[in-house]
Amino acid sequence: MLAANDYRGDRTATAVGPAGALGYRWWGGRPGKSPDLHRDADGTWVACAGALVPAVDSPAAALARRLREGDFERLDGAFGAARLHPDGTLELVRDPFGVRSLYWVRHRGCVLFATELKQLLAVPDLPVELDPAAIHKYLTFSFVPGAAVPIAGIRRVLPGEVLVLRGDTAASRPWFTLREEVTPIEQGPAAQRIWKRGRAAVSRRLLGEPRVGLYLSGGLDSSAVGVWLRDLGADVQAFTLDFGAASVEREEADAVARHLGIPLERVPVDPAELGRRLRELAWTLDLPFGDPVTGPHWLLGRAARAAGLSAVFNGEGGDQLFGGWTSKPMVAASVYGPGYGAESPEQQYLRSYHRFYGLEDQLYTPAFAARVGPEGQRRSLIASHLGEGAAPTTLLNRIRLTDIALKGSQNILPRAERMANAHALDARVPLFDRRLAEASFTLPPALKLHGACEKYVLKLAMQNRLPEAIVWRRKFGMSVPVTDWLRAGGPMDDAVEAALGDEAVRRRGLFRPEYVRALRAGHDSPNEVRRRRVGEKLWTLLALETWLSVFVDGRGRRP
Amino acid sequence: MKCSHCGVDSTKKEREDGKCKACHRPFAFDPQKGDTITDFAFAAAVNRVSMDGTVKFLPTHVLARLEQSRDRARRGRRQTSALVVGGIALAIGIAALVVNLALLAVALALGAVSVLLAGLAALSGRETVDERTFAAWWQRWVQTHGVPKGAVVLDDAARNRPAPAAALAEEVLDYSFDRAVVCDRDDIAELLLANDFHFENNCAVLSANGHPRHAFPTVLKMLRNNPRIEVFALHDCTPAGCALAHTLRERPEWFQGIGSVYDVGLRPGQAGPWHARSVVRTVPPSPALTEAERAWLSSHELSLDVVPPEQLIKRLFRSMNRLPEVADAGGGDAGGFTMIGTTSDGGGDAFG
Repeated sequence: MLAANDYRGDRTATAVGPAGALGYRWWGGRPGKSPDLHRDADGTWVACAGALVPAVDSPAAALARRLREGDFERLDGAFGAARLHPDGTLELVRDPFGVRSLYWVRHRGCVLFATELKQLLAVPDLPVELDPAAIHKYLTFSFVPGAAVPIAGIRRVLPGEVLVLRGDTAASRPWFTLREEVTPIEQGPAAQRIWKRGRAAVSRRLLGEPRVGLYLSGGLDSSAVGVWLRDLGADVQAFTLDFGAASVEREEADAVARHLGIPLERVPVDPAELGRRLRELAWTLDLPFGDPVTGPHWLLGRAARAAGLSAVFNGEGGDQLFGGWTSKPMVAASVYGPGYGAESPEQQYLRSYHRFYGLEDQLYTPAFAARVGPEGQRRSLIASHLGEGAAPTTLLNRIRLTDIALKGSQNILPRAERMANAHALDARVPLFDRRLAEASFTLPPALKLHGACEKYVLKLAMQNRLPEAIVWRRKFGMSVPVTDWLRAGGPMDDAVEAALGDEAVRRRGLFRPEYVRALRAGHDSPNEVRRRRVGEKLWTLLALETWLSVFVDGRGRRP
Repeated sequence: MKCSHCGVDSTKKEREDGKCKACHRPFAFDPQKGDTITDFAFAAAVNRVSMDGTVKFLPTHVLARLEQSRDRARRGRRQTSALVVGGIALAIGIAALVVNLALLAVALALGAVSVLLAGLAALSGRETVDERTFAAWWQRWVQTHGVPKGAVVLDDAARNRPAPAAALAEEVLDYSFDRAVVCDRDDIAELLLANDFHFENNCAVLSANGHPRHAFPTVLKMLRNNPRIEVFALHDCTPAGCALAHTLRERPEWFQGIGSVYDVGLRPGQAGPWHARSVVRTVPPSPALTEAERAWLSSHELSLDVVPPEQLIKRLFRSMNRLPEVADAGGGDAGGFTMIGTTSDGGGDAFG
């Protein structure tokens, strides 16, 4: 199992006893990593992959104490940990926002667990069969939400959760919950609070490296992280994606880098190369991720590694904490009310992913449709955040929490971590700092969405620290030209034909060939007006088929 | 007569009970009994405007589609006749050169008839369906087959939706929209909302008459929260419609001094591709109309219904995503109803 993710470190340690065994892999000499497995005074063994924030010499030792004492006050970081008791009780714990993962499965009377799916599949006689219900959810979200994964029987610990396995029982409890605790505050003090917390979040993630990387898109969030890094005196090398003529925020990235006085490397994105690397990307991602930004992220990581860096910062999280694409559509839907399209906020939210929700009859084969499980599975994933009875009293915070729990914790963070770690880079995500997130939920929602202005309080905090055009312009968003990539005759045509040609689609048996064919011909739903949605849908299918070929057909072996 | 459900043809005798001989579903219409429409034709019009049930539509879209289909069919028949007669004329003309020059006169006469028929096909007036007739057809269709999937009907339930909950209504007053579409017709506003235009485009949708009633006051207050609001006036080619953008821009209860207003509706200059309806009326001078527009509107009007709903949504989206502001019609060219390439509407998540 340890050999299955050898790119994750150059050192390993194992501990084997009558109750079970632990294994751990890490990069020796990296600050903040556990130097070994930890044997606690109470006889338990603890393995911790990742690091805590602020950094400690041994996250495993620190977590041992916390789990022993039930103290999760201010616990933060990017980690997945296991604590094995002498009586065989196993505790599995994940970081608050899901940067690192933890999977487990019962097999031959034992519990197997690992931070990556491929490690479990390395067990030779573990059954590998599709879980259609998990794939059904993936096709709605473009990532796999919840505790189930697309391999039947394998489960995932949720972010911010402790799972206790004892005998045949499995009991989970959350150790971290973001709560809405709004207190009145004026704009100025609110902006100062966010400035301080953001700066502290970045500071806590600087671990003495001589130089760090920054993925700089030209948008507000990554620019804000750049501001804080420079304010802390960090030596920064920035990287930005270059899609050639299709680039959207290239000039903005240049402007920010000049303003901050940091060098900026443009990383060209060659879709043909990404097409050749699809299987490798799928293997590294470990789960299917249907957002085409994953390949470009991989290229950014390669550039950062080539520059000699070991840690990269990014601006992920700004949308989830302070704004985001879903806020305004959901506000619009709520104001006009049900009766227009979807009937409930949950259904509206599912539709906002613009993948295959509502298109199941057109996409799924009858055989697949019959196996995806009962109605309501997808809505149940978000009901606790968005439905009636959800804790936040304000609509905006319900939407924010839903985005954090779904998009942030189960999509954006894990894939960013894996694409960085594919090149032995630590991904540092300060906007998903626990204390910053908690602060954001003390703010009146009108400081997040102020009129039509998203991320208002972050903009106030960055005012006078970034060019006005960067702070106050309407959000544009990075747009991967995926429809162009995947069109017939385009740079990924061979890959698309191999994965989504009629023969391949029939062989897999999940999708109707005629629907996939129509999509490949550029025919989306008649009322879909955005061209990029065709490409996004196709990429979702392409990523899934590639993942299936690597992880189901190939049992997770390195391609 | 073909059944609109199963496609099987039933003769008059076979459908004496008013039902299809194969699937036994009733027919709504029967030309043998005096109807000038068949179920098949009606269903085809519904399927076309709804894109096989995937796009919401108004009943008036079906009416427009039926008129266009009949119009095309009639032109086609006249053109076919012209071609046939022309072909005969040509054959006789060739024969005249070989056999008897006297036949040339016959050929020329037939040729003239052919040209006349072709001219009639090109210049013939529009095939129209009386609105009352269509209303009766629609009623009969609904009684027989139910409301077609995706039909948007502005009934009492649609006009009396419950207002947002008080807590929500209070919270959203802090928020706003980037854009708003204001329509001169309630049913067009309802159509856009039913097709989720507001959800897909971060866009308010209202009518100039206060529709939808349950959300109108809240939404208008929200819109006035955004000093950079972009407002798009979507309207028929009528005097009132063409004055909409001007009204929105000039009236204090609308957007006087707030944001920008763009005209994306139908104006006389864009009516070319369609057959306008003839009317006779006096149109007083207005700052919202050029003289040429006033003259056209004195004798014509054109409804947005001539544009199928899927096309309407796409054109509206493309018009709204252009960059430069377009002047009001009173001052010159209006942007209006043109196909304009899109700019970015924003990307997905991630990458900060």
